[in-house]
Order: sequence, then C-alpha cells, then structure tokens
Amino acid sequence: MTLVHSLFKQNRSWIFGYAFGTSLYLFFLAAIFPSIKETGLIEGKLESLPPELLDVFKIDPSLAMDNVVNLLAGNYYGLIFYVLAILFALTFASRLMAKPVDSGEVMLYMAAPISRGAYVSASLIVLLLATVLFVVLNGLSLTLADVMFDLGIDYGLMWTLQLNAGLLLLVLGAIAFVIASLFDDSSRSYMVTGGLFALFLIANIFSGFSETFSWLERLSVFSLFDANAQLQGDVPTVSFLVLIGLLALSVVACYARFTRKDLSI
Amino acid sequence: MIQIDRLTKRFDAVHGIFDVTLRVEPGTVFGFIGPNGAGKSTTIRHLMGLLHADVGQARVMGHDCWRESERVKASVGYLPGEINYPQDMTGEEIIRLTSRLHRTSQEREHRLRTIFPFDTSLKVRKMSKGMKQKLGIVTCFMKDAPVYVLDEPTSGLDPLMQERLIEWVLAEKAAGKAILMSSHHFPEMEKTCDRAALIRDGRIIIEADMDELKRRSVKVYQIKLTSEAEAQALAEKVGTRDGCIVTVPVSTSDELNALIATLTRFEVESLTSGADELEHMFMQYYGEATS
Repeated sequence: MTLVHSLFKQNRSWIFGYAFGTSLYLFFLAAIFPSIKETGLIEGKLESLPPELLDVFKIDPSLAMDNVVNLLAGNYYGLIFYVLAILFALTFASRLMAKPVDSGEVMLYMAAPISRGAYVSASLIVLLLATVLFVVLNGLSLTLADVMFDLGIDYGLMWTLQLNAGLLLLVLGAIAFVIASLFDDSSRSYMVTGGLFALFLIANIFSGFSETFSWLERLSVFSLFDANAQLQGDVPTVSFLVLIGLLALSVVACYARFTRKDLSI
Repeated sequence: MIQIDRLTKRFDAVHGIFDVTLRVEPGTVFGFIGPNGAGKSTTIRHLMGLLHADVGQARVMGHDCWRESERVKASVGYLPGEINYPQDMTGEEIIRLTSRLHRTSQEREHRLRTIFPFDTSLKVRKMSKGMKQKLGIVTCFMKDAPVYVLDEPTSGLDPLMQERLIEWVLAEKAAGKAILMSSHHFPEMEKTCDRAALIRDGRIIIEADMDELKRRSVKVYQIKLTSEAEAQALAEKVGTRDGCIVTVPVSTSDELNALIATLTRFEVESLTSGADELEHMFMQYYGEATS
C-alpha cells in the first residue's frame, strides 16, 4: 500500500488533469446541448460536411441529434477520445516506467525490500485508479449535467460507453507500459509506443473510408470502442471480451518483462 | 556477509565484468577502487539485484542477490553513486517514504539529521549536489542494516562532512557491519578500509589487506637542493634530477632511513612527499588502464 500511495501521490497531477479536464469538457458540451438542439444547427452542419471527414471523426450522420449521447459520440467518443487515450497511456508509461528507469529515479523503490513484481502491481493499480477516476468522473459530470439541464440521458448506454472507454484506456496503458519496459532510453520508448498507437489510429481512420480498407479495422485496438455502433443498439460483448483478453496478455507481459529486465541505474 | 564468486556479466566482447570474486566480512570495510567504467557500479548493481549475472553469483547474508533480492535488500543499506530521487519530492517526503519502505530507526534518523544537516523542505530539483548526497547518506544509514553498499559516498561533500562520514563509517564498522565502499578518494579509503581491490577493464587485478598494500606501495619524495650541482650529485646516488629537484622513490623504511642519512650531506632547500602511498600505487594501475 505504501508503494501504491507513493506512486499515486507522485502522479496525481496528470491523473486529476485528465479526469477533471475531460469531465469539464463533457459537462460544458452537455450544458450547451439544449441550445444546440433548439437551433438545429448541428444537423445542418453535419449535412454540409464531406462524408470522409465524418468518417475520420466517427460521426454517424444518420443519428438524430436529439440526445446528448448522440452528440458526444461524434464530439468526444471518436477521434478526440482516441487521441486522449493515446496521450493518457503515453503519460502513464512515461511517468511510471520509461522516465524513472532512464533517470534512475526508480532506485528509490528498487533499493527497498520490494520485488520487481510488486512495483509492476503498484504501477498497474495506479493505472486502474487513474482510469476509474477518468471514466467515473466523466460519467458523473454527464449525470450532473442531466440533473441540471434535464437532458434525458440513457444511463445504461452512458455507463456502457464509460466501461468500454475504461477498458480501452487500461489496454493502451498496459501496452505502453510493456513497450516502455523494453528500453532503457525513454525517448526511444516514446517513439515506438507513439508510432504503434499512431498506426492503430491511422488503420482505424482508413478503415472507414471505403469497403476496400475495412479490413484495417481488425488491426486497430480503437475499433474495439465504437460509440456509434452502440448508439445503434449493438451490444459490445465481443469488444469487451477482446479488450479483457488483450489486457490480460499485456499485464502478463508487463510482469514477465520487468521482472527479468537488467536495470542499469 | 557479502560473497561474490566468479561473477561475470558480458555486455559485449570488451565491456562487462569478468570473474569478479570478493568477500566482505562483518566488522570490515572493503574498498573497491578503479577507473571510470572499470566495472565497480556493474558489480554493485548485481548486489542490489538490478543485473542478472551470466556466470557466477553474488550473495548477501547467504541470499542470492537476483533470486532473493527482497531478502537481500532488507539487509542492505545502499548509497548510489548518483542520487537521482524524484525531482518533485522534498527531502522530508523522501525521508518519510524511506522510513515506510524500509525498517528504519527513528533514533538513527535523528542522529543522522543532526550530523548531516540540510534543508529537508527543499524539493530535490532545488538541491545542490552536496545536499542530495547528504539526503542519500541519511536515507541509507537510517536503516540499521548489517550490510552497507556505498558507491562514492563522499562525492560532493565538503571536507567537514567527509570527515563526519568517515567517523560514521568507522563507527558502523566497529558495530560489526560489513561495508563495501567504492571510492576514488584515497585518504578516506586509507582511514576506513581493512581490505581493498582494484578493478580494471572488468577484472580484479589486485586485492589485499590495506596494510599489505601499504607495504607494497612506493612513496615518492621530491627534494629541492640549493644548486643544480648539488642536485646532480644527489641524483648520482639516488633518484632522478630535474633542475634543482631530485625525485626519489622509497618503498621500505630502510630505504627511507638511508635517504635521510644521505641527505645530511647535502644542502636541502625543501623536501615534499608526492601522492599518498596508496594513491600512488593505484595511480600506476590507473595510468596503465588509460594509456
């Protein structure tokens, strides 16, 4: 517990930054939704945009903007969330693995009578706490907006989206952690992780352009969080199972790698 | 207490450590000396369970340093060569965290903070090298461990603090602790160490008791005479001349007494000793390493 407490304390600024920053964004978007709905400007704007651009931002023009969650599917739970998730995962892996190992700061913990496995466990618990704070505060901010502005949010759908988002954050964080533990040089680990996640993103974007590229979707972890499909009634059971499987594999890889790694600190 | 047997870690064909063997017994200080990149820190990293040996093993209190690193670290107080604590933590936070992560003694902590005082409210990023070193010393020794591994312990300390650290190490030695100390600071090695080893290119090239090393070492004296003719006359008997200065190497007390007897027949202006005995001996090996 001492280790988790210490690591969380050292990392709380970015953890709260992501959680409160995104929650405020969601709250304000939800708060202005009634006036957007009244003007009907969104539908008009969507009709005027090229379909490729809508694909990039994962906006389904067929969805009526009569519900705030539909609006959020295009303005948050698409490209914006994917980029945020990448930054979140990179920050986590950088602060708890790449930078401490590169600079030698991790020696504060490695000199103590704790195992490498305990350090990995504590880091993953911090990832879990950061993710829970992120998605729960996001959900609570929408709930508060609903209470204040009577938005008629479908809570079942909203919390399913939050759970899906949380699983994606955990998987990306764990993958970034494994990659960071492969290198002693933090800049190289940022480069490799950033490159891999950018490839996931590009594959996801291109998969929506035409049927020819639809197979690319299978290469991207981001295709496991499709808010539009859920809005149209899809139950993301398969996505959840695949994400849980990927998470389990990544966690095993985290332990396997870091407990055998030579540390030149 | 510390046993390293045929420890080998090969980074490439040239770099690494090869067949390193040493023992540090309770109540002794073992000096680990060597040029930069010779393998001192690599050896110490094996003791702390940071590196996995290709061949051989390192044990502390009978526990394997890789497979039983938790048990080993419970018995070791470690002072790293570079103090790299998290930059945004204050000295006080690091001391508090250390006291929770290790089993430390409040009484020792209080004494250490008195002997090595510094502003603990400062964040690490604002600390000078000396302050960081004092923080490292406090966090290392506040743990009442049977074994200490000290990598360049006096680095960055002012002479007063260096002296206090030497006194502290001697007290720990008297209390029966086993201490492995890597250092370039020869006076502190002479004052504290019972035994020492020189490592070069990853291999231990000399290991002996300090008394034995001192006996083997050569002391160099520089004698300035009043004229070049005097210097030439002396140089013909002992040493080598450079102007009015004659350099004489002396390795035994008999040679030293003979030199003193000879000097009584010359007009000596000044007599100075060169590097410390031990330093002089190790500098010869250093020189070979860098040449």
